[in-house]
Amino acid sequence: MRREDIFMDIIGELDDRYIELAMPLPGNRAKAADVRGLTVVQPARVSKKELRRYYITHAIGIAAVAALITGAAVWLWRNWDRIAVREPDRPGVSTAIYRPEDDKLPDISEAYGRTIEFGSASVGLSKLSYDGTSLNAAFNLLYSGSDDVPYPALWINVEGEECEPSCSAQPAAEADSYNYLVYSFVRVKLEPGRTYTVNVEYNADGVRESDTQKYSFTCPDITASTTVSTTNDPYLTSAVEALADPSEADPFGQITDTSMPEPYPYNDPEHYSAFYSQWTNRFTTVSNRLTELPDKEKADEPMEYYTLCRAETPYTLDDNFNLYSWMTRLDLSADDVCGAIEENNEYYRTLDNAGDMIFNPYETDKLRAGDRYWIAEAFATEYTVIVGENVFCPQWLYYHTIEDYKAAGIRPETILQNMTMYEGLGLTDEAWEAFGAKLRSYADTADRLSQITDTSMPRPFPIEQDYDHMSFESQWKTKFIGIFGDRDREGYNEQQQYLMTVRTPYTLYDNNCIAGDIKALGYTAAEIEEKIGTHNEKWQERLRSAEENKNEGAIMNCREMIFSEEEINALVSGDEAAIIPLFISDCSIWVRENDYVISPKWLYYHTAEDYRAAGVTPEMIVEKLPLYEDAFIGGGLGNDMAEESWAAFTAKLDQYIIGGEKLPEDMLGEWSVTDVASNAFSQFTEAELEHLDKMLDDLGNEEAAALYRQAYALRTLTERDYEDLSNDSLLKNYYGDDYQDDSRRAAILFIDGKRYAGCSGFLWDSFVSGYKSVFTEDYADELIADLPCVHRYGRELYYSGVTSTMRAMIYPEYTVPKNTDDEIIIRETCYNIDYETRKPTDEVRYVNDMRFVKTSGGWRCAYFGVTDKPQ
Amino acid sequence: MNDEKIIELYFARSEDAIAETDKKYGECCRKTAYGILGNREDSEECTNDTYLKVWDVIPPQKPARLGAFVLRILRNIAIDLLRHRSFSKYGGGYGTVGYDEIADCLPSPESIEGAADRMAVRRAVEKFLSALPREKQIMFMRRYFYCRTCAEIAHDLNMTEGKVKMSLQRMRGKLREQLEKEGIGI
Repeated sequence: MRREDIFMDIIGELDDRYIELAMPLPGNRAKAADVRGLTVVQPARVSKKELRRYYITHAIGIAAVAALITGAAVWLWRNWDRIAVREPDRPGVSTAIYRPEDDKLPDISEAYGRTIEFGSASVGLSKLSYDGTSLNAAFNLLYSGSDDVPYPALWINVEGEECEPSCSAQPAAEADSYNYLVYSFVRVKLEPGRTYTVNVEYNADGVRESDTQKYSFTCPDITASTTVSTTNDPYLTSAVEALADPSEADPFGQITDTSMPEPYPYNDPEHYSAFYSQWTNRFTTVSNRLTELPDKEKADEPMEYYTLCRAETPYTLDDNFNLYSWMTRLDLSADDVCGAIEENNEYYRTLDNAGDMIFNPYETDKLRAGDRYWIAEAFATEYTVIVGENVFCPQWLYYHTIEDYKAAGIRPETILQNMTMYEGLGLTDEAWEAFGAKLRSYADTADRLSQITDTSMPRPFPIEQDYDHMSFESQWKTKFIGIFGDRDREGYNEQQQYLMTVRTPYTLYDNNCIAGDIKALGYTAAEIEEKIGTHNEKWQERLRSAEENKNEGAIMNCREMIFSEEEINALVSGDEAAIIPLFISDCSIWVRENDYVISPKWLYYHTAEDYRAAGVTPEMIVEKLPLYEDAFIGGGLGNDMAEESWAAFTAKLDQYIIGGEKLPEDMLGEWSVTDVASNAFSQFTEAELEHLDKMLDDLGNEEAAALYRQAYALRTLTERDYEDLSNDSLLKNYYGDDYQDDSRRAAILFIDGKRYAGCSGFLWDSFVSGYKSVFTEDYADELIADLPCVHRYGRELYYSGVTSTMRAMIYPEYTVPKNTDDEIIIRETCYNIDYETRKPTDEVRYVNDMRFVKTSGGWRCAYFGVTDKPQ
Repeated sequence: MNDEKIIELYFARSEDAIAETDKKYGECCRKTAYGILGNREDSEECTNDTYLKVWDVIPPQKPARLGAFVLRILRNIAIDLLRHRSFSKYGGGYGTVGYDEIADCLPSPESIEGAADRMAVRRAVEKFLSALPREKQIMFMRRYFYCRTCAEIAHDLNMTEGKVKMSLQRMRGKLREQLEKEGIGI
């Protein structure tokens, strides 16, 4: 985030009262006057002397203004030829038009260094190459802009055939006091081995002007690229010679994937600038004001140099004509250039639709600073891929192989991110088929875990919230972010470029956390200790101040920001296993097997397939879900997740945890204590039941008697141990052969990596209410917390497998030691049964006192021991 | 119609709520959006998106200050839109509020290490604002919240443009001092 973003965000978060106070509603102008306090002007008497002084003072003022205007007019008259509209200034010294001595047309190569003069433009033919299928021609065009000539165009005519207009200027350049240099490129398909007649046409005002000279061009019968470039011009010769040995040419600057079809039906680099251009329009246009900065003789030299088009597929700042290459070749100071740019800006602001020619302060700052990376970053189009200071436009990607991508350091993640954009470049179907296939094959190697793969998710937080959502976004505690990462440090730019490709960080090193900075920028142990020491001092100072003010919230925040000795040692050691647990945020998941750190944001933007690939298990998510609920829908700070986003997020997590679809809400029912109690005594013998009924009747309290039966049912139902159903065969044994039905499958919840629970179809809350209708509040909470075979998931009640429901071999006898209006104690003495005779022995197995108390809500059971725990 | 009545309309799901909101805050919304985006079509779209969002969130929300609530949403939508367009490359600032104007008076991104720092900055700015006379508070908020030009502010407050510019410059200086005093690095 940048400084201005922080500023605007913070202003947006200011208290409502300031927003309301300053709200410029209609009619508030009068209110504004109230704010200042009205000034009442009293009429005053003016003497003749004062009146005379007034007239004299004003006369002097008027005379001074008149003198200034006259002076300016004289200066303009004398300097008119320096500042007024001029005929187009052609780059360099005009070369005489070539005239052949006989009827034979000169070879095209003789056009080098020649400037073709048209009525309102000069065209330099700079490069011709034939690649086995097409003639590639490069021009530079210097024309005088005019409102009447919005789209100047160049053609190369080949035996009457012609290309589409190859060069156009933005309407912003329609200014009659400015001349423009535009670099352009034309590609024409020609048959190998044939000889063609070539000439150039220019359209400035709707009427084509044709160059008087024609040339011949014989297409070599080759498939490889060949440059036919010779010239007698001393300057150009040197430039051409530099490229004479193809082996020395930079392969990145040349087409390497010759299998690609023509990208567009006709060749018009200006029209398809998104495909061909690395730079924004204003960065490739040098206005007349700028050309006045260097010596007039030299101003056009860079243009001449670049008309040789050193690179077929330019990718650096130096490969083609742009403002930076122009000023560096002329050795101009950035301050002078930026000064002239700012003057130009003033001019462009007076024009309609000239907005894209205005340099913003961010851009001029970067030009002044001179850092090639930041300059490239500032002026590259959104279609480019920036690696270091290299800028790869779609044309480069189109004409290069995947091996070149790798060698250039282009990350497949970047290609993956740009795919949709490139699809919109308007290439021919055939071209996109080839280009798309190449891009996809490279993007398929991208690290999916670092990218957003679930694009169906809505924006997580409502737009009206202007808060940081650290618990959602960050893998780390607040103090682990920042402090390090000095902009001036070597490797900083590369790190930033890398981080830009990571949309969903999941390792220790793929975000701006301290450990990532330490590794990427190579901080030494001493530097780490020094930086953290300074940080700690700052926060200790704030802590002292907070303690003085007894500000509890601030004290806690400050303490959290201070690094402990253990944390510093872990950072210095670089040991991931030591660092992660110390700094991981509460809501993030640490996958120990691979040291991935998974934030809620990562979970939000990834699919179940990715969860599995990252080693995130359902149990890990189950453990964090209550925290997510607190953090994202129970914040109470107005920063809750949007309702639809939370629904989408939990639905996705549910599917992963449940292993199938959850039951629809309307299928969930109320859990009933009565239903459970009705079957609780089915295994009692008649004698046992008679004995129990007699004891309960003798109580003389029907409510307590009914309560006893319910309490018994609940305790025996839920006290049983769970059964480990950790594999499919056990599941099948428990649920039956049809457990893999969709309906059964939906009912499985994975817990702790080995326990599986089936959906009961009941609402959790009704289960809790049922318990609390039988037991006292505290005892019910205690029982529910200890239940091993009951689980809450969302709003649902899940049962895990439980052991057999056979009763233990015991014989119970009941006594009532206490029976008052507010307390009843029923003592159950359980005797072991003789296995042979099936009769009770004298051996006592358990003695339990069941306690019932009268509460404001009626009778409740305050304790109920489980005596017939299954064997 | 007062704000309470308008909120009642929202709760009653009456579409008049939007019409009344537009009547009361529409011009302010459009101007603020224009101040940020610099484009009339986008401002109109942004204002409509704001109404839609307000319609979606009221109910359940019941803002105490409807105007501030609407304007805050509008501003966030406009800024979101601007950032979405990589405005650093194409605009360099927030509409009428230029990069150079902001650059010298608030903490560097490096000094904002987390939510705690950010909250500290917000508190410091609020402290600074609360100490200003009412006229200056309005001037500051009109410029940086509502993104009005200095000329517009001058017109509204019956001042010269020069005075507005000078006052804002001084306020930025004071804000900077305030932040430094609070130990927030610039």
